[in-house]
Amino acid sequence: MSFWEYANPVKFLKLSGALLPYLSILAAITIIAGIIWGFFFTPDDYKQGATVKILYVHVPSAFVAINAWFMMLVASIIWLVRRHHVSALAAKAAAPIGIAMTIIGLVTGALWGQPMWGTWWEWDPKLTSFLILFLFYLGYIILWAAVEDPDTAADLTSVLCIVGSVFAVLSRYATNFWNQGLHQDASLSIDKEEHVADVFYYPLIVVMAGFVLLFVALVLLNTRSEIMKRRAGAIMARSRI
Amino acid sequence: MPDLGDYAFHVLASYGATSLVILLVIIWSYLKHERVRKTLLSIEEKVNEK
Repeated sequence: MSFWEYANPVKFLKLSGALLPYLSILAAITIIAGIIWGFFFTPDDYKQGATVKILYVHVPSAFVAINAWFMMLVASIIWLVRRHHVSALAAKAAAPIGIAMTIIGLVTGALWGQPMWGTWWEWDPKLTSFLILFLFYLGYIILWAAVEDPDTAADLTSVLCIVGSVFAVLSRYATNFWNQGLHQDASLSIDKEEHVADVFYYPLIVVMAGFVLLFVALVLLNTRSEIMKRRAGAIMARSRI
Repeated sequence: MPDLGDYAFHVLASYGATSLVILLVIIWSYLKHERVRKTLLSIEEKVNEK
């Protein structure tokens, strides 16, 4: 059995329909468990005080916002190379989730920054590239809506996605490229010495897993909607209903 | 409820905004899916009737 079989809309609908209930329940359980653990059962940070609890919503949302763009990038490249409609629709379906996560990242970042940095916003490389990523999400969604022919829209948005990837990379690695700005280095790292203390790390990982599951579930749901919408349009055009 | 001290507004507003945006995106996705599913079903029924 090949992965490419699921580029067939009928097979995709069948598989996604079977997976969705389980993914949704798992996402809900994981997010609620992680948030309860982080909010109620972890101590305040010695420097940040209670604002450290914002970490449990800010980091997962920013993580999903950036990686949603990478998922869209892969789907867009598959569309450009192999012309699988499901991949173009999956990229389109991911954009509203990605922009929602970017909004959460920006708002919670500002709410953390005000008491810790003394400012709601700073034109720091990481924050600025994340704001530009938000604008790319907005442009991507508007471009899909503005172009009537779906294949042309998929082509144009795929190119936009490739260009915007620069800012997705910068949002993630800006602190590594420029040793300036207010934003600290990544909260999580493969090198255990660099990331947050274990007491914050474990609930954070649980919430992040929940956000990823939620993202996957919503992308599947939205991709199903896009496939059904296109099928309805095709039937109408054929039958002139 | 943990004591959030001077940061109560910032912490609670963060969780409130996150919950609101996530709920909105879930409701929007679900309603869109239901609307499209019903449209497709009614079109398929009309085609089958012909």
